[in-house]
Amino acid sequence: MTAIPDDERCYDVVIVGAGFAGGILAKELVSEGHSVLILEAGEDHGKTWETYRSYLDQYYLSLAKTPNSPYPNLPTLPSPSVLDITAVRGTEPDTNGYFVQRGPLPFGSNYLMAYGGTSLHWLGTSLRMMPADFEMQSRFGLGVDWPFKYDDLKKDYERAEWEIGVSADAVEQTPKALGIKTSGPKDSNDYFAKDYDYPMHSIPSSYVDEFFARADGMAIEVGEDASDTVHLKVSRTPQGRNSTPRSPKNGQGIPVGDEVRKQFQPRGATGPFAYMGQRCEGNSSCIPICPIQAKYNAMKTLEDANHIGKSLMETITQAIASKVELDENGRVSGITYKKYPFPGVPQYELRRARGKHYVLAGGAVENVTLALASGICKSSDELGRNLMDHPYMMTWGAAPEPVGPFRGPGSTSSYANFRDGGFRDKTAAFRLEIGNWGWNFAAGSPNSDVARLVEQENLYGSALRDKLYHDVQRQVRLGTLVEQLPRSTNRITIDPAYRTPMGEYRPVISYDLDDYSRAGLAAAYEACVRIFQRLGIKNHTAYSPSDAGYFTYEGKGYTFFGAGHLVGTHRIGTHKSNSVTNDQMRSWDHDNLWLVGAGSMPTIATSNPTLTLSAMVYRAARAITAAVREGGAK
Amino acid sequence: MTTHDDTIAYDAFLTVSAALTGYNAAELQATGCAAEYWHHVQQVLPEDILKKFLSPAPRLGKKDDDKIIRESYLPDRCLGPVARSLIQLWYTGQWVPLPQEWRENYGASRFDVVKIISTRAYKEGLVWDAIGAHPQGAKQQGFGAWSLEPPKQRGQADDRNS
Amino acid sequence: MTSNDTLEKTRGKLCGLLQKALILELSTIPPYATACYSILEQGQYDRSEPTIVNAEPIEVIRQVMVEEMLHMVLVANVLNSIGGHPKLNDPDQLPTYPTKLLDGRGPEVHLRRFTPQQVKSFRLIETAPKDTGPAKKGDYHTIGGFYTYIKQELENACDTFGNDAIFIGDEKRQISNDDYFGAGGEVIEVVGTPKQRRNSAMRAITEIMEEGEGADLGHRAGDKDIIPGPEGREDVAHYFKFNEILHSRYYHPDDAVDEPPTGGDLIVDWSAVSPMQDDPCEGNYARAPEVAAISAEFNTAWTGLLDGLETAFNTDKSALRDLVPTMYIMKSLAQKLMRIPLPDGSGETAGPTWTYLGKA
Ligand SMILES: Cc1cc2nc3c(=O)[nH]c(=O)nc-3n(C[C@H](O)[C@H](O)[C@H](O)COP(=O)(O)OP(=O)(O)OC[C@H]3O[C@@H](n4cnc5c(N)ncnc54)[C@H](O)[C@@H]3O)c2cc1C
Ligand code: SF4
Repeated sequence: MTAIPDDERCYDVVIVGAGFAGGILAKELVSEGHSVLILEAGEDHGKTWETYRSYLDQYYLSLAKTPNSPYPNLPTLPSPSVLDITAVRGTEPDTNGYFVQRGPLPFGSNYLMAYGGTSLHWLGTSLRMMPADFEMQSRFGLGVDWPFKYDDLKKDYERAEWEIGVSADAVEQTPKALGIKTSGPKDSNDYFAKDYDYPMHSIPSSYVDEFFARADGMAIEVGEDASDTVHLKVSRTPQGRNSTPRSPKNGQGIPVGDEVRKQFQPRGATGPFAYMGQRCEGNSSCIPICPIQAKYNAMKTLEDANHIGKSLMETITQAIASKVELDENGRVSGITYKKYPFPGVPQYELRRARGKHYVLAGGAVENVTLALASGICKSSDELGRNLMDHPYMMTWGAAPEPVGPFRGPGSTSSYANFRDGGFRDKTAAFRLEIGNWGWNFAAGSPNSDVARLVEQENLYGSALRDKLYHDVQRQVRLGTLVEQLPRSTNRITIDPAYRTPMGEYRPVISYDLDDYSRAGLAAAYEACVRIFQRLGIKNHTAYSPSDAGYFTYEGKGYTFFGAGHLVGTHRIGTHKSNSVTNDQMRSWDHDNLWLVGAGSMPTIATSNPTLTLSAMVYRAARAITAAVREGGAK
Repeated sequence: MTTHDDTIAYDAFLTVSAALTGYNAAELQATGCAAEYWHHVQQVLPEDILKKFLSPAPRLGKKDDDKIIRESYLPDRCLGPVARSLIQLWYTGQWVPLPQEWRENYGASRFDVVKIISTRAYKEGLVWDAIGAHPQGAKQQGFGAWSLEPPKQRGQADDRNS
Repeated sequence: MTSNDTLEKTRGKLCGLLQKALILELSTIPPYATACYSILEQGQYDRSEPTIVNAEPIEVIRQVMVEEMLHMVLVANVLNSIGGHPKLNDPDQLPTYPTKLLDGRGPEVHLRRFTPQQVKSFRLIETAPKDTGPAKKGDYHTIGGFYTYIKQELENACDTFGNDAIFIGDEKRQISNDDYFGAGGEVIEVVGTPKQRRNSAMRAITEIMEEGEGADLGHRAGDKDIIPGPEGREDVAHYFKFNEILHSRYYHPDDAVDEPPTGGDLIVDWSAVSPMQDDPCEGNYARAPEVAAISAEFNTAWTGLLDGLETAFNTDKSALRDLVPTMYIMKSLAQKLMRIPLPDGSGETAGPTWTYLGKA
């Protein structure tokens, strides 16, 4: 075997992956004066304005406007796609797409391999977790407790909210204000630090939200206990998209982390006017691409890191980290990566990056395949296990009047009432997201409506136009995001039989929904039906046994999809026997290796994971800084 | 064809399109896609069929459009599928290929494939106007526009289409 | 000059000047918007590859337009602060095109599509006065000169009558950053003690002048707003932005103001533009009722915008919020008009006339 050439420069920290986690970490580390190298497998995509705009064109021209549709799918670097999801039948795994699916249910989520990572097509929902979510074992005897509590993450939540640029009003976002009957009596106290507030005001509610708010106050029973009954409330969702910046009260500034910050400056990422970030102007395409970059993407933070870091900051794109190498003491000595010069041509040069510390920030799945391929982080046997997502179930119907769908961000509000409560000992908690884009995700509207009316209802001319207005204006949709518990059998493995054209391991996934989550989904469906009844919405929901994500619970059938929330595969914990890293995301087995991202989260609860993973990155960043300063000794 | 005939045929194409879509010729031209679609239809349809398709144009736009469309276009084995694909083209910017049976009977074209004609075609699909919205990813309506009352249906006062 | 009578006379004069400034800012918006909307947007020109031409000119003009709107807000704040009443829907004051700015003293502006000639006339609009001496005395021929005069008159009035006598407007009328977000700079509220109000009013006028011509920035093109990015680009004043378009080249922040730009390439394709007729007028649509209908729709929206501004500045600030959607509706209608060939066979297309329809 020929020797792999070492990169000339040795960095303080080598980071794999330029997504949320990699970006924030890089910015923090260069701000502390450390040198940083990012290895990013994807093309540098939207980095320039021209390429960013060409992705937009690609989106316009895509027949199926899936999350990954604007972005190139390279044979060198296959990404999972929602179009590849089929039912797993029999004993043979489904190898249709990039994932090798062992089932019994298909894992329906995807992510994006590109400079900026999945942030390019995330929706932007930026919820904090609930205090109970950190204590699932002590409160309900389920799953595990986190090695720290909500309060310990509070300042880092603040930092993450200001980095991402989250639009919300703190007074509306306490568990109490959201109408949640928390499982702990004091959970709502001090949920936000005194005087803290989000950097920008709430994104205005949609007209659809206001329509649903007519059911506010309605009592819905969850679980068996009458005291668990909640009273519905539509609440606005904190979102990582630009709104109107908040002017600090009396010019005092807002306390964020340990600093006092001035008024937030919205920003874009690329383009000649990126420094003047635009507000969300309602392009209604946040998934898969925000044309004006009002929605946060990690390129904003990466741009800051480049700006702050100057020569401290280096990024190599089209560089797939392939193996983490160890020295005789079990410390990481280098990461070999495949640098491919031409996107789409599976030819590469093998090189080695060197640093004092190494961080895997490639997302919950890719961190695991890389670590498994390198034979590291073995002692707990937890690596790759406890894969969680938010099984996503849609319920859709026709409102009795026009509600103005297909305008604005994908979702601006939800029923957050079911995010915690005494019922959680038997039934999974969930959140009901109110969709603003009609039956787009549910049934391919409005194109499918045109086809139906023209081909089947034989309409044309103004009658067609009027019927389209009539039907589509009434389309409403709720999306259920339900929690999953960590289960060791929901896991990612690798198998030499399944590799990419570049010779990398493809993720082999085993996945199922347990009865806890199924009970949550069933309860959510029931709640949706009641809301529909209350508001006079005609239910059009159709689940079919031929759907890839079809499952049954207590004799009834439902269909779920993935939410793109990949969590739990390299969880933090209190001991090397129960977790892959410590609570600072430092690997138990390898002193100078860190794993960050949503894979670090021991439980998923009901919040979309990105704000939490971002907050956790600040925690890791402080520890890494300290470790670099100590010279790496423990 | 001479240039003059071209203009006449193009105008006929607009007239037939207007009757089929419910949008007048100016509104169709306002999409900026008319020439593109005309070109596409010429590529897909054999000349004699195109001629037949446009021949009712002089009678359209008067009183008995509905009769003409319901009698001569929609149930016609040859013109019906063409009309349905053309309506969908105007509404979604996407060409829906003609049925297999049609191709066997009237001739296949290599341009008769499923395709969004252009990025403009996507953005200018009439469906967005019809449903009172804007094309997803383009023609933004402005901060907070999503909280406003839904636009009224056309012809029912306060026409807020965009 | 101590009697109340002269104070009110001075106030009247100042209000008159600021009202003119308001209409001046307003008058620049239709030409900018028309030129901007005439540029075929990404994907609207025929190319096999979806490349992007003119993305930057669109952005530049859009940005200038956004700043002009901010200027209107700033002028309205100053006008309100001295007890005036901004007027935006008085047909006698509203421009019809072509029009000569500054009561005929300034440059003539047309409604035209995006052409080098039109960009040159934009550059003229944003030209800095060579010497502010005469302007201070009322001998102005540029917008910059006009504001120099206003500033001087306001200073004089404050010195003569005292800040508290001048700034008597209701603070509730002040538009703040929370009411208006244009991504084009900061909204300055004229509030606080009379002294603070005076300072804010001066700052507001200075901000307008700086964003326009960059007169007060020394000999550099940059205005010190940093654009983050590899080159650490600085923003430049409007005048220079138009120069960038004409030269198909960006400024380097340290470029001297009287030299052509020396920065990177900026792509301009003058042919990817709708062939809109110059100074469109209703008369041309007389024989095309379908076009007239769309034009009328445009003018209804424009009228709504002006009425909305009037309300926002004088009675209810929250009216501002609904105006952003109105502007996008206008954009869409303008672009529709610009794609419809005129019935005269000239090959030119229709365009928006920007006609205020008055109250029904
Ligand atoms: C459609 C969709 C919508 C979503 N919406 C939301 C939402 O509203 N709210 C929310 O909280 N979350 C949302 N998510 C989830 C969110 O996108 C992820 O949680 C988040 O992106 C994870 O951040 P990350 O930095 O860990 O990984 P990523 O953003 O996925 O970035 C990882 C990066 O690492 C690179 N990489 C991976 N492996 C290697 C390797 N071996 N070598 C080099 N580089 C590598 C990848 O190319 C990628 O750029 C959504 C996800 C999807 C799919
Ligand atoms: S609604 Fe549009 S502008 Fe707003 S974030 Fe989504 S894509 Fe961007």
